[in-house]
Formats: sequence, C-alpha cells, structure tokens
Amino acid sequence: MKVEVDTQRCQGHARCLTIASEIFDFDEEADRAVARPPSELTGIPAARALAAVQACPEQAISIFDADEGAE
Amino acid sequence: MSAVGDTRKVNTSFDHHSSDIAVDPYPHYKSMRDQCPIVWSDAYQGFWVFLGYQAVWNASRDDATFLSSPPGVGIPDYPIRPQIPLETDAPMTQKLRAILHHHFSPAAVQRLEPTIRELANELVDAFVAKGECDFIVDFAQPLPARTVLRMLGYEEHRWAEFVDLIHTVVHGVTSDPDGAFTAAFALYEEIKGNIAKRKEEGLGDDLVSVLLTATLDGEPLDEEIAIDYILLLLFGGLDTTTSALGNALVRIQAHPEIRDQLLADASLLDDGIEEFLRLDSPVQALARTLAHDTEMCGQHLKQGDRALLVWAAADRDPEQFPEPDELRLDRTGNRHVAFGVGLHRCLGSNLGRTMFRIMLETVLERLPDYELTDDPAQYRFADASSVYGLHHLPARFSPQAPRHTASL
Ligand code: HEM
Ligand code: SF4
Repeated sequence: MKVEVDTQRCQGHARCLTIASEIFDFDEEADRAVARPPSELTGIPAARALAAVQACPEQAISIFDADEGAE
Repeated sequence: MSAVGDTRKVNTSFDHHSSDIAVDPYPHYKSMRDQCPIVWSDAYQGFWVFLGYQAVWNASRDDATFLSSPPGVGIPDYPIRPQIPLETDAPMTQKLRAILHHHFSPAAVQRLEPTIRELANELVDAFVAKGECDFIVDFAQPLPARTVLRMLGYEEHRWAEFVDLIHTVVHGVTSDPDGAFTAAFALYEEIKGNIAKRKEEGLGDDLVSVLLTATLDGEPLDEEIAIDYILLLLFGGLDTTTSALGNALVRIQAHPEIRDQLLADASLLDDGIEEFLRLDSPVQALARTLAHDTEMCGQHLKQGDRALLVWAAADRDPEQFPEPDELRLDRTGNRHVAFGVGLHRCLGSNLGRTMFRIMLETVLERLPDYELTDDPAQYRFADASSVYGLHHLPARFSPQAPRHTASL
C-alpha cells in the first residue's frame, strides 16, 4: 500500500495522525502530515488508511496499490 | 425554490446575533439550508449565508476569492483592531502562522498533556468533597485560561481578571461595541506593559518571547502585530474550549446510554470528541469578503459582498452527515469543520482538542454520576454567534475525598 498526503491541500489538522499513527508522521517545521513510505506500511490493513482518508477535513490523503485496489 | 427579485434565490432576514436563535440555532439553519445551500439575508446591510457543507467548504478553501482581511470575519464589523492572523490573507497568513505553529503542533501539545491533566485534577480536588460545582466557573473556564496564560508566560493566578475582560470583548462585539472596545484596550495596555517588563527582565521560552524575537520578511516582527497575535490567542482559545465541554456535558446528561458507553470504554472519545464538536460547534460562523464576482449554487456573488460561513450549519448537512442531528460516538468519515478548513484552520486545534478531551475524561473518571441541577437553556449566551456555549452549569454528584495529586 502506498499512501500520499498532498502537501498543498493538507492544513495540518492532524486527524490522520490521531486515527492511524502507524501510517502518518507529522512534519513540525512544515505543519503538515506525511505518510510513511510503502516499505513501512506492509501488513497494515487498508481500512486504517481509509478511515484517515474519510476523516481528513481537507481531502488531502490518497491511497494507491491497496490490496483491494486503488482508491 | 422561490425566485425573489434578482439573482438572489432565497431572501431572508436571518440575524446570527439574535437572541431568538441563541438557545437552539439549528432548526433555523435547517429551514434555510433546505431551501438552498446559500441564502441572502438583508440584516446588517445584507450578506450571503453559507449553510451547505460543500458550499462552506469550497468558500473556505478558496481563500483567493473569499478574503479574511478587513472588514474581516465579523458581520457587522468588529469594533476592535484586526485580529492576527485571523484577519489577514495569503501569503501573510502562512508567514504569521509559521512563527508559532510548532508550539501548537501535535507533539508540542502532547508535551503539555501531563500538566493539563494535573491542572484538571487540581481543579476537581477543590470541589469534589462538596458534591456540587459549577462546571463552567469552577472547571471549564480556569482550565483553558490557566493553560494558555501559562504558555504565554503570564501570571496564571490572574486568570479570572483576564477571563472577565475577554468575555466583555468576545460577547460585546455586537451588543456592546463601546464596552468591547474599552475592554480590548485594557487588555492591549496590559500586554504592552507586560512586554516592556519582559524586555527589561530578559526573555524566556514562552510564546510572548517567541513573538518578540520573531522576524517577518527579514525584519523584526512589529510589536503591535505581536500584541494583536497575543490578543487572538486569548480571544480564540478560552471560551471556545470552555463551551466545548459545557455542550458535551449537556449532551451526555440527555443521553444516559452515551454516558454508559463512555464510562465502559473511554477510548470511544477518540472519535467521540469529534462528534461532540460537530454537533455543537462552539464557533458557529465567521465571515469573508468577496475579492471578485463569482457564481455559486446558481447565485451571483459580487465583489465586496460579505459572506457568513456557518460552520455549525455545514456540520449538520444531511448530504455530508447521515442523520446529522444524531449523536453517534462511532461516526466514521467525520470531516466536520468546527475548527474551520483551509488556510485559517484553527491554529490551536490540537490544544483545544486535548484540553477538551482531558476535561471530559476527568469528569467521567472522577464525577461519573454528575447530574445537572438546572435546565441548561437558561445559561446559554444571548448571542450564539460569538460563542455557542454556557456561562454557568451547576451540577451535583456523589461527594468524594480529594486526591491532592498536585502536592504528591
Ligand atoms: C474547541 C476549541 C476551539 C474551536 C471550536 C476553535 C475554532 C476556530 C475556528 C472555526 C477558526 C477558523 C477561523 C476562520 O477560518 O476564519 C479558528 C481559528 C483560530 N483559532 Fe481556534 N478554536 C478553538 C480553540 C483554540 C485555541 C485553544 C487556540 C489557541 C490558544 C485557538 C487559536 C486560534 C487562532 C490563532 C486562529 C486563527 C488562525 C488563522 O487565522 O490562521 N483556538 N478557531
Ligand atoms: S488530516 Fe488531512 S489535513 Fe489534517 S494533517 Fe492529516 S492529511 Fe493533513
């Protein structure tokens, strides 16, 4: 699974971080979330990422290559 | 849909400051939103009222069209100096936020958690043996006030004085502009005096010191701008967080099954606090000004028009939230806009959420059988558009021995 945060859209609400801290990190300097690289996401259910996607108020998160197909 | 006159499809006389809607504004939003996501109001020389989720979201994210700079975020205009960074536009907004944002980041707020929790327990200790309290005055007001004053490096014990002045400003901007102006000036003088003192005594690592040593476009940050920034941290962070707790305690009292669920499993608050914020947004609405003509929802908006973005109405839009008036602790896809969305997303949202959650957890843990003694409706602020919240909330509970956590 590959997860991406669009840094132009992200406004740093950090909802993604609260929901799935195993997928997201926070860049303190930029005040933006960052997704961990795919190599660190193996075995994490796509549903975790999807919950973050659905809660992000800025609609800044995308999921690619999830096992159930791209989002 | 009734076409009235020109391009304005729905004309109303909606007044967001009216005491008629102060106790429960939501049915009023619904009846307008059911007609159109954007309606016109002829109150205060006329303004657009944005009620639909998509409409509010689009406007708030399009900060090149919907400006926050003066006349600013109040309708009618606030009688005080422009609020920083609230009443600025890009790229100034980002530059001003960048001065402080790491002090409000998830990690920075996490570092504050233990002291906030200690303060929450200390406040409960003061009344827990009596078996009664006023949740607002004894708990939900001092906690955010003392926390924010501490961050600013102010004398924490003077919190009640600060709260009084802040109240006069926040609740007076429309009903008592002269009083609001006078109180804002008193706060301004207080902050200015304090800055002079700090400079003499040497700066520390508090937020006031950070602002005083900050640069903007390579120049030292103007001291007046620093003062306006400090003022907004006080105006924006106190009553809002207080109200979030008051509103949630009213909800929990009204739904015994919710209380049982929360008492059985406090982790339900992960999503739960978002649901409380969605349902009863402390900040109901803030305004913008049109930079140029534009078309939205079939309405023609003109340059210079004012637009009120009603976050609270967006957060109950059935197109976005199934059964929007229902409290669902496990609601997924909760993209609520209680902290705004886009460029001006609440700078203190991590802190506000954390203080709110800690207060709620502390009440549930230490006063699980609390019961509100009066009908809370009588304690709502008379103007929901300044802050949707309560100024008193008396309660009873089984008395217990204090823990004196602070002195351990
Ligand atoms: C539950 C509590 C809170 C709520 C509901 C809330 C709500 C909001 C909203 C809706 C905005 C967006 C304004 C806009 O788009 O025009 C905002 C902005 C802001 N809030 Fe909060 N707030 C809360 C707590 C806090 C706290 C604790 C602080 C800091 C001590 C704070 C400081 C600010 C600041 C500085 C801004 C301006 C950001 C900008 O213009 O870029 N807020 N808040
Ligand atoms: S929830 Fe969305 S906007 Fe907020 S930090 Fe995560 S990606 Fe960014």
